[in-house]
Amino acid sequence: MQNTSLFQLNVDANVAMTLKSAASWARALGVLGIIFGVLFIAMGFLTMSVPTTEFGDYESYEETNKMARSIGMIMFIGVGILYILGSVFALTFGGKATNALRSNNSEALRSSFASLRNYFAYWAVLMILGLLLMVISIAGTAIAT
Amino acid sequence: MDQNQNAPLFGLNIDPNSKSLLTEIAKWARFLAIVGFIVCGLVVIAGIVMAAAFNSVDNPYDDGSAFMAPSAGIGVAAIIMYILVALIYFFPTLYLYRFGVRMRNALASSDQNTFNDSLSNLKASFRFVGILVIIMISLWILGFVLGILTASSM
Repeated sequence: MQNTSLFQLNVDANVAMTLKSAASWARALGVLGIIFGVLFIAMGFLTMSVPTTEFGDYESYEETNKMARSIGMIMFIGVGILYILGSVFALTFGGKATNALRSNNSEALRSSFASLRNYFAYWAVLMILGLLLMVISIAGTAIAT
Repeated sequence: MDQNQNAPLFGLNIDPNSKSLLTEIAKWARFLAIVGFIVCGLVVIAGIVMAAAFNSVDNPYDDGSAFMAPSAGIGVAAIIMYILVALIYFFPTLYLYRFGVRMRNALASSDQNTFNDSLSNLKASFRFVGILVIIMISLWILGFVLGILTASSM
């Protein structure tokens, strides 16, 4: 019994089929996520290209408007880049897992698991940062009022 | 002849390195799912707070008549939208949680069925989010095209 896995878990027919399907969806999600991120970035640039409407002679309003749109553009582009980076991890996992199953390569399968771990870790860290920002902004609003 | 019934059909084993990676993956997935559940709850609370804020508009008339502020309708619409968003976000989070928990159990007990079950939940999570992203991109493109058509017709 020299082929028995030490931990008795292995990639049998069912697992291979499920993993292959998961990898396909991960690749699709990766590609879609990159498209989504690019659209976000495009939206950011569009924000700056929309012509402003002049409201009389108040220069300070014009300045505020410009600043607000700049911040909006930066946020859109930032979110787009962050989303693209996360999607790359999903795409990498999907590609490597598919190759590993096709070629029965354990090393490639391990590498795909590393990409999957990076994918979850990346989004978990982003979620924590997002929640922290939300808490800080709520606290700031509460203190200000 | 001694048939090795545990031999992998495709020659891929879950070796100690893979097991270590899968353990980490399960932890991160569970953590992400729990944070996701918290976010769902916060979204629902935000919807309730917003609805309450819209409904608290005072009656501008002093004649004691019953007053239904126009903003009350907006409040109802807001809470429905927020609950819908929370619901949409809940399902992939649930699949992710199930993946994390079952993967942990599968690795602990070396149970092949649970291992397969956990990967099914991972697939379901990716599929749900993938379809959601397709819908969002489609709506985005549709909105963009409608915007261009509207602008050009003016």
